Parts: sequence; structure tokens; C-alpha cells
Amino acid sequence: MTEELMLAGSIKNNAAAQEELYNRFSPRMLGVCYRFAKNREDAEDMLQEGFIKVFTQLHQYRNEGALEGWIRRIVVHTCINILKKNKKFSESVDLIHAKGIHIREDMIPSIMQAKQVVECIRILPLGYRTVLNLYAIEGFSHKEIGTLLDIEESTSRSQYTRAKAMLEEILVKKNIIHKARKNNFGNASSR
Amino acid sequence: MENNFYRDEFEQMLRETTEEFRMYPSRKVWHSIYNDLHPDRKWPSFAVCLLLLTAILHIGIANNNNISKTTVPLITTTLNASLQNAAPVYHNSSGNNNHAKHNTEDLAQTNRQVISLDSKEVSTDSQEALTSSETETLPATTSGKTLVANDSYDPLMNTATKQVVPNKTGLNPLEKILTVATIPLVSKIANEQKSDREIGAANRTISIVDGNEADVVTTETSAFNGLPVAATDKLGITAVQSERTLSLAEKAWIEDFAFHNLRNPGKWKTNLSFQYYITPSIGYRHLNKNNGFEPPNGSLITTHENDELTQQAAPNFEAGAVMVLGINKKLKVKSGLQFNFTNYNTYAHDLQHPTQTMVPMNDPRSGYLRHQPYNTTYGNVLGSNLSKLNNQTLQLSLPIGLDYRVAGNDKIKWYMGAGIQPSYIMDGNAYLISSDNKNFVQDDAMLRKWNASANLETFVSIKTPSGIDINVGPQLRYQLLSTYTKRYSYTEKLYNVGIKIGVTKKL
Repeated sequence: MTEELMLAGSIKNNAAAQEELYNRFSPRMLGVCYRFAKNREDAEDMLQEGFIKVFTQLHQYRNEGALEGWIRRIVVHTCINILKKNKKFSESVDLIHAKGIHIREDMIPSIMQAKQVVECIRILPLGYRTVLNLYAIEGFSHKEIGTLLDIEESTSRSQYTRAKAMLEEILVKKNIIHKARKNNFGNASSR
Repeated sequence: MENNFYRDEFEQMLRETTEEFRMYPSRKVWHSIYNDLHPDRKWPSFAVCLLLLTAILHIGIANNNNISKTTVPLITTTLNASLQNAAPVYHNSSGNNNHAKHNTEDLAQTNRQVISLDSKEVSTDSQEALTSSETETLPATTSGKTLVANDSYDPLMNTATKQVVPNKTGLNPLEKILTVATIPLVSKIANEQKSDREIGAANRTISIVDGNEADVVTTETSAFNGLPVAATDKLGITAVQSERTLSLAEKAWIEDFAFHNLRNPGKWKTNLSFQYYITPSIGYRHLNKNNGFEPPNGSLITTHENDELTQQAAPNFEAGAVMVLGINKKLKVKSGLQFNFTNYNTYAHDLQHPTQTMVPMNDPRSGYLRHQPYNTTYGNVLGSNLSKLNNQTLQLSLPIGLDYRVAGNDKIKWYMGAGIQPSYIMDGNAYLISSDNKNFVQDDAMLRKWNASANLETFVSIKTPSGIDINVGPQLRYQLLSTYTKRYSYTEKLYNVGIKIGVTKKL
């Protein structure tokens, strides 16, 4: 089924077309949700809510840019909205210093490839993880993150700096990146 | 979003790595989305599920029927039907007498079988000769190795079996896994039947296929002539070919699918909790006539029986343990075992001498009221000493309930709950009030043996750092049926109000 047919069918509420669209994009989108969520179950809840929004808003898609990017944006916003409902989340993104956080060796999963990096991201504290996901991976600016999470832009910036340092530490411990390379990351640009 | 996104190498690395990351959602996610988008089409999917379930059950039962006591199950599986032609050799011991005249290489050829999900039986002939045999199931191979069994029974042959199969080198690990992902059940046959020793023999070859080189194949030749079992190592070169080579994308998909769809044995468990609780409470009762009888002539009763009697609430308690299953994030269902102690007190005066009194009873045949004479020493009138009569029961219940989460977060949650408790009355005291309300009569046989209660509760659940939830909240328990049997002409409903304190631990 071509993307045009799939889109047209999905807009007409055709179940087969919708399933095709879901099957095509859900694995990657679940990967996105998983980076934000506490566990797989929560990630699936986010995915479900995200795709319901996708299907109900699909008629608004104007073929400007890739469909995947459009879906991804909706899914990311859904994740953030779900996270924001949790009081713990708003506390954690406001937290400038993540006190008492110590990354132990046994916290780092020994899984391979992309999964390994994602799991390393997921062991970051919730606030750090969210800002890092949005900034480094989803490409939001600190200003956008501030608006999205109802925090100061400077908070987002400092959260990201700490998140990045912590993630680097984890990745070095796991030998995913090496110290020499790690040092090269010192002069990170900020948006 | 900004264009200069990849200015930082670290961010670029993160982005590129995580872009590759995919997870495969469970089907229930799509079903939920589907049901949300097509609320009118829920039924067909349910019907399809039911149909599938029936079909699976049918297949399961049908397959079970094929397995009899006298068979040695030999099961092989394959992941890809296209591999049939080049399937690993699976040679069972279903040889008949004709096989005795063949050499073993012939046997290996003629008994080469296409791998299929199947269960085979060893022929009756073999089994007759190999009685009192024991079978052993080997685990499925997981590391690209497979066991290829060549169990051939040859009554005349007592020599080693040689099986030579060309080996194809250069198969990558995935192909090997796919090709040889078999689950052979190799039977280990130890025949102890003395009468068959002279003619009985069992040959077995176990070939281990491993990558580019052929491993040593162990061939055991078991002779049943009283000599020790001879084991001979032979070189068996087994090849497994795949006619269809998988594309990189297919391999990646399979690897990814297998990686992200590992069976989660804890998923069911994560929804299951164990809860202990105790509910100290205050119990009381409500007494009503269950027919329209009037006091006997001459009675001076003018007030309601509940006002006439001196009665008092008393401490009750429940203690129990239930399994709690989370249906979804809001709803939990629970069931278990509960012990109840119910009690309330009435006060009576001890009479100097036994007095005859009448107790209102329902005639079990006609249903009409009749007054049954009893002798008693308890009076509801002024007497010598005031005695406290404990109207207590000991019950064992099977509580079945639902808890609904009204609000809360990870740390603290507020639940409303309701349930029903079928109960068996193990023991108790029954003090019956006489027709004129002036005496009490003890007759424990009037207690109903089976009863049921309903309970309403609301509680707060607090998660402790150790992961245990502590639940505290008020509970109202109301007995749905009378404490007494239908014979007694009063209906008594017990109720109690208490504080339920529980501890819940996830399994």
C-alpha cells in the first residue's frame, strides 16, 4: 500500500489502512515513547494515546515534510503531556541539582547497540532524561523546551548540561564511548 | 527546532544511535486503538478471538489424543517451510524388520525426514522389542547447534551406525539458527528386557552440527545381549542447507523482533499482589420479625424488640489474605480467605429456677407461626445477677471484591472498594428472644451455617520505600442474610464498622 493510499484510507477511517500506518510507524514511535516512559507498559500507553491523536488529527496533515516527522511530533507532545500529569515529573524538571544520584555499575544494562544507549538514557533521572531527549534527540531548543515543560529556559539549559555529563559518565563506564572521545564533547554548543 | 542541530558530536551520536532503536508494541495496543477508533466494531474482534481460542483448544486436544503411553514422542520444528528440502536429518527409531537388511547408510538416507511440526510414534514393533524403555527429552538448541538423532532399531544389527551428510560451510549464524532450530526429542532407550537381549539392539547417532566444521558425532550402540552398552565415536558430517538466503533486512527484522519481543515472564506477575489485612471493628445488629405475628395474649409488650432488650455493640474483627489482580491502572479484583469474628452483647438476668418460655418459630411446612416451648434461666426481667450474653460467631469467608482507584500518584492512592463475602459459620452462640420478649433462650442450632455479607470500603494506599503498600481506611460490613435459620421467626442482620489495615506486596 502506498503512503498516499494509506493516508487517504486512514483519513476515511478505513481500518486496514490505519493498521498499515500503525504497523509502519509504531515500532519507531514506541522507541521514542520508551525513552520518555518509566517502563514499557507506560510507553505503550503513550503510544496508544499518541496514535489515537494521530488518527483523529490526520486530516490536518498537509504533506509538508515527512509523515513520520509529523507523527513523531504528535507522539512526543503526547509523551510530554502524559509526563506532565505526574506531579513527580514537574518536581524533577524543576530540580536544578539531582542530589544523591549515583550511577552504579549494576544500574547500567548490558544490552547491545541502540538498545544499550537508550537504556543508558533511561537510567537518568526523569527531569534530566526528558530534557536530554527533547534537546539532543528530538531537536527542540531550550526555549521550546521551557515552553513545553513550563520551566525557565535557563533551567532547561542547566538540566541538559547535567544530563549530558551524567550520560557521558555512564557511556564511558559502559565502554560505549571512550574517555578521549568523551573529552571532545567538552565544547558543546547550545541553542 | 533549529537547523544547526548537529553541532555537537555527542548529540549527533545520540541521535543516530537512537534513531535505530525500535520496539514492537504488543497487539493489545493496536486493539485498544482500533476499539477507540471503531467503537462499533468491537464485537467482531471478540468473536474472532473466541473462534481462535476454540480452534487452538481443539487443536491442542486433538494433538493430545495422538500421544499414547507406548509412543516415544519425536518432535522437530522448523521456522521456515522453505527449508524443508535441506532439513537436518531426523531419523527416528521407527524402523521395521525390513530395515535390518539395510546397511546404516541406507537407513540414514531412507529415514531422512522433512522437518515439520509433528509428533511421531515409534512403531509398535520397535516398542514391543523395547519394552520398559525410558525416554529423555533434550532441551532445544539455542546456540546454532542442533542435535540430529538417528535412532534406529535393528534387531539383527549390533554395529555402529555411520551417517555421512555433506556439510555446507559458510552459513552465517542466523541461517544456522533458522535452519537448524529444531527441537529434537532424542529418546534414550535402555532396554532391560532379558528375553529380547539376543535380538534386541538399538542404534542411536547424535550429530552435533556446529558451523563450518563437523563435530564428532557420538554414536551409541546399545546391544541387548547382556554386554555393556558400547559407545563409539564416529565422524558424522552433517550439513544443513538453506535454499533461501535471507536478506539483510529480514535478518535485521528477525533479530530486532526477537530482541524486543522477549517473553516477559513477569508481566502477569507484575499485576499480581498479595495482601494481608486486619479489620478491628465495632459490631451490632438489627432485629426484625420476619412474619406478622403478635405477642401472645396477656403479654405486656408495648415496645419494639430492639428497644425492649438491653443490648450493646461489641468489638469484632476480620483478618484475611487475598490475591489482588490489577485489571488495569484503575481497577483491581481481589479474592482470598478471611476469618471473621462477629459479636454483640445482650444483657439478661439469671433466674433462680429454670422457666418455661415460648419462642416464636415458623412452621417449616405451613410457614405459619407457632410458639415452641423452651426452658431457660435467662430473663429479660429483674433477676438475681446481670449476665452478659455474647452473641458471637466465628466465620470463614471467601471475599471477592473490586477496588477502584479514585485518585493518586505513585506514592499515595485513594481507592473505593466493594465486595461480597460468602461465609461459612464455624461456630457461635445464638440467644433467642422469647415471644413475649421476657426471656432469652440459647439454641446454637438456630444459627445459619452459610451466610453472605457485603462490604464497602475506602482506603488510602501508601507506598513505602521498600515497595510495600500500606492500606488504611474505613470499612462497613453488612450481613445480607439473617444470622438465624428460617425457622426462627426473627431476622437478625449483623453489621460492623471498622478500620481496615492492610499490607500489600507485589509478587
